[in-house]
Amino acid sequence: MNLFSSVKSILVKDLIIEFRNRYVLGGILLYVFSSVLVIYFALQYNNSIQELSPVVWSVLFWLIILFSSVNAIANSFFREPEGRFFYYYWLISPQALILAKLCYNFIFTLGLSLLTFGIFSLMVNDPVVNYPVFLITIVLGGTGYSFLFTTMSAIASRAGNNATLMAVLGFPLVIPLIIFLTKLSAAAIASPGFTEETVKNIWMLLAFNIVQPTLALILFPYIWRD
Amino acid sequence: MTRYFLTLISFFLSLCTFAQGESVATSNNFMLSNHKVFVSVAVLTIILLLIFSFLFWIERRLKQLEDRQKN
Amino acid sequence: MNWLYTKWWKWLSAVLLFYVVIGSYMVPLSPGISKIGPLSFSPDSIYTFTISGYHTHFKDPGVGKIQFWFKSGNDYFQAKDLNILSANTGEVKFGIGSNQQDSLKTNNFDIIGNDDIDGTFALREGVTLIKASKVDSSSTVNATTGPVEVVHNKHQFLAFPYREILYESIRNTFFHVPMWFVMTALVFFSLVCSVIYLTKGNSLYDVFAHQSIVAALLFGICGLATGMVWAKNTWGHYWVNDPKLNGAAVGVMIYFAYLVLRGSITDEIKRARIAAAYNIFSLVIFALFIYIIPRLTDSLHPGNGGNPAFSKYDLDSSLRMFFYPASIGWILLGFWIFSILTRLELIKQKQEL
Repeated sequence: MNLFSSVKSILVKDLIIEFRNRYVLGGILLYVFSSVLVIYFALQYNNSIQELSPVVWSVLFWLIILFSSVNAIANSFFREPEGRFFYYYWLISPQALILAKLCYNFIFTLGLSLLTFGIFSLMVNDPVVNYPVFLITIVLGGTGYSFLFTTMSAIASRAGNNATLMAVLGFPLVIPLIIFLTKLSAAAIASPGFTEETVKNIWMLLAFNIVQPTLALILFPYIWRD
Repeated sequence: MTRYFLTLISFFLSLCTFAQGESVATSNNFMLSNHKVFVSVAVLTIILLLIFSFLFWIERRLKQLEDRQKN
Repeated sequence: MNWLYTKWWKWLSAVLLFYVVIGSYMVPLSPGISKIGPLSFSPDSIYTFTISGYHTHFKDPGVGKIQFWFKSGNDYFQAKDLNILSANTGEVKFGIGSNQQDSLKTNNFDIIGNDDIDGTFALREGVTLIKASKVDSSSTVNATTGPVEVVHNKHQFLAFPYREILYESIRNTFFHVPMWFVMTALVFFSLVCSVIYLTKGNSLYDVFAHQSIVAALLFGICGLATGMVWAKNTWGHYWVNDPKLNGAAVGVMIYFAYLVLRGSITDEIKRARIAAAYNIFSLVIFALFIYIIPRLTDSLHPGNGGNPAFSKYDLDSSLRMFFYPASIGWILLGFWIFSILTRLELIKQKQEL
């Protein structure tokens, strides 16, 4: 099997499993919904939804996505039974497996971010004025989160499927990412145009999103091999 | 054990920043005029001496252990 | 491998650090002005200002002509009737006419002094002129901008630069800054060892990578401790919101996570491989940000966000005399601690066989 077709077949397999086990998908949806609800009630009963500043709004938004994507992505390697990796090992190259997982998690996290934005704007509010910048931020943020946590979940799954470990390993590395994401989405709320600062931040996130999968591709064979 | 001890010692090392003088002086050449500076230098020297003698002592112990393992 | 066991560089580190600790405390600060009173004045009358110097030598023989200027913008106004009270205090008379007040670039005057031993020393924005509401044309008070002629611009003895805010704590440069050099050196050494381990598969390099991270964490914590004490003295708080500080904290956190990761895998070969992979991954991501974020945002540290670069004029020759030996000494000490940890680990591994 060549790289492309094996990536495709694992991706399709993962998507099919996801839709067959609808309760996993439903669980994540409910996770997002209930965390938005918690924030909504915490803000509503202090009458502070109206005076929510752009920065606080984006921090809350990206934190919800952070926690729900950690939960969702943790499944991607933990879900596979122990024996199945041996099976994959005979069939495909490790690069194909990590590429498929990266793609799958990218699609999943992107969907999750858009959904979170939908629920967030419905329940809390939607202060965004600059939708192009905000959409770019969501795409870049979803990519960054999914790539980082896919790699961390691969590492954590080798260290005895420890979900705490994934957070411990991933959270320090996600801090720089979250700084740029909140900056960008605050800019999307505050100003309608592309400022020089915004473009610089977008380039930073792009660089991050290129370096990460490259490293993951290079290092995954060592992580995966038994 | 060694590791914790080293950590402790290195924390003591950072104490030298406490020994630095007040910012406003009245007498000429503040650091040398009152003899406090000699006290802090003496304390620092003793701490450094302790660290280095400890490190060299560990070196000797390690050498003994390595020699014992070789035989 | 043999360099772990050789002794000469360990002795060198001991000698260098003794030189730095003793030498740096014996070198005084260069002259400066610590206080002036009164702090503000009005035009059209002559004031007597008392100037308190710091490490100045007004009473020494060979002090030559002692001069003071009040500087506003680029104008040097000569202060008159100097009266030396002690080696560190003097009185000068100075006044400015209300017809001159509108030609001033700024109301804040820098106080500049000069003599043959102490060179030029200054207090930035020491006194403030409270402008008169209307010009009094009958006033006879008039400040003159004389030609500035000095014998020496630099102090004539070995001294560290006198910096407001830092003062005597400038010596922490020899302790705080090298800590980060050591941490960076050890972390990059660990990165190289991890890469070698993944390509060659020699378990010795895994021990190197692990133990250098332990040593680097030790120095990272020391760097944070020395930095916090220094920050309390200069910026007023133990922790300030500064990209370099936060980056350092994140770095220390990443390496604690590395140790946690190592602790959670029992199989040795698997542990070595996965830890090496995490080490490379996290360091590259972290380095990408630690070198970019401080350059994008303002920092209180020198060299970032419009602050003057460290090498530009913060490090003068007297600081360099101790700073370079300190850096080399601390880095050697860091590798010494690393070598001890490594040898201990190797002995432990042999014992288990």
